[in-house]
Amino acid sequence: MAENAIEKKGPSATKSLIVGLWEENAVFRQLLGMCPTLAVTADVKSALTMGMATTFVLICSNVVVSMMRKLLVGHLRILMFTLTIATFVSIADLILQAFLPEMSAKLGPFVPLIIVNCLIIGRAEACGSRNGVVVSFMDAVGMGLGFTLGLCILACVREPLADGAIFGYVFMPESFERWNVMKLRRARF
Amino acid sequence: MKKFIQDSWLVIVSSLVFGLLVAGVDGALRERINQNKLSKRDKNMTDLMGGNCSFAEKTVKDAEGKELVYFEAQENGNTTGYCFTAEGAGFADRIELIVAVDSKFEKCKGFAVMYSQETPGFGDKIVPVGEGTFSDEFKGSPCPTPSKKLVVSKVGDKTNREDTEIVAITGATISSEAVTKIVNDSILLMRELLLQK
Repeated sequence: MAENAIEKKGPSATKSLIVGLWEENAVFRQLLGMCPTLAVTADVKSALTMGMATTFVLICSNVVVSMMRKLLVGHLRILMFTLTIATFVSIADLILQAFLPEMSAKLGPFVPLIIVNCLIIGRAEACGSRNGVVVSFMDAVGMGLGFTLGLCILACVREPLADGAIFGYVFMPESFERWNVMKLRRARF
Repeated sequence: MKKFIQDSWLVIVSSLVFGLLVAGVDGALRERINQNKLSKRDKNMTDLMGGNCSFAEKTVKDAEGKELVYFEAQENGNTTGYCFTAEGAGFADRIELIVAVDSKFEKCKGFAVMYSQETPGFGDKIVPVGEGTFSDEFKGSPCPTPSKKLVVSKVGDKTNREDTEIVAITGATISSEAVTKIVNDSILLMRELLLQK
């Protein structure tokens, strides 16, 4: 009985934060958000920017969904999630265009496509709509950072092999034969 | 009706609130976003035409009456060339370029990429500037005429500026051809419009 009572309380904020980093990592464990994972991990700067943009959207949408969770009507909840996510993706896109224009141009359509990242709608359904604001916020931070970590780890493998560089700084000798295939999306596999 | 309102009031109110939020952020950042685009365009034009040029924005009407914007490069009161934006289909997405020519439309001064999403490692080699790059091949090439356009070949001398041959990027023939077509079409159009003025 006591165990059931504890279980009903849901996860603690700290646990929500930690599980997203590795135990339920979106890229390596849940295989969510594969579109950006395939598309923008050819270099670390792009991966980091995409990860941070996704984290921003994840945090904002999870917190807003959590705040209105008691008002959500069953069959309209997915519509509300999408509306919320689309709003924050538009804001993230505008912020990138204003403050990181080169990165925004490089990421191209993959920023607006954060809207269809199933990690975000998945967390809105699994966490935001069922937990309080603090837990939802921590869950989003954990999941977002875990997602960013996943993208950056892949980029840290691909960029040195593709360009002999990391963060754009070339460290491999000129004699190192660049693997152009690592820049292509199929290299993710 | 009552059930409809009960079910959907949150969607309607949220749409209004979220719409206002996006509009507010857009309003706050739009000036900076536009400034970023203009800075990029101005930097590209200055790089193509040389450091001491100033640019006058002008318009010309095409055969259908549509206004086209171009920039007249001036140095010490003399017109040294023209820059104009040009757009066309690439391999993955549209390609938008700034194309520069001399004042008599005899020599091409090159192009700079404003927007492209070509394949990383292959098609995106249309972007870099400098010696030995794909864009460098266009610098000093003769401007295309209706009878003699710039043409893409898979092999050739990249350093020869006298002929109309452009050597394609290895593994990115479609991107190379797309850029060459955009340059050809835009120069032919602007030559016709500006020289008859």
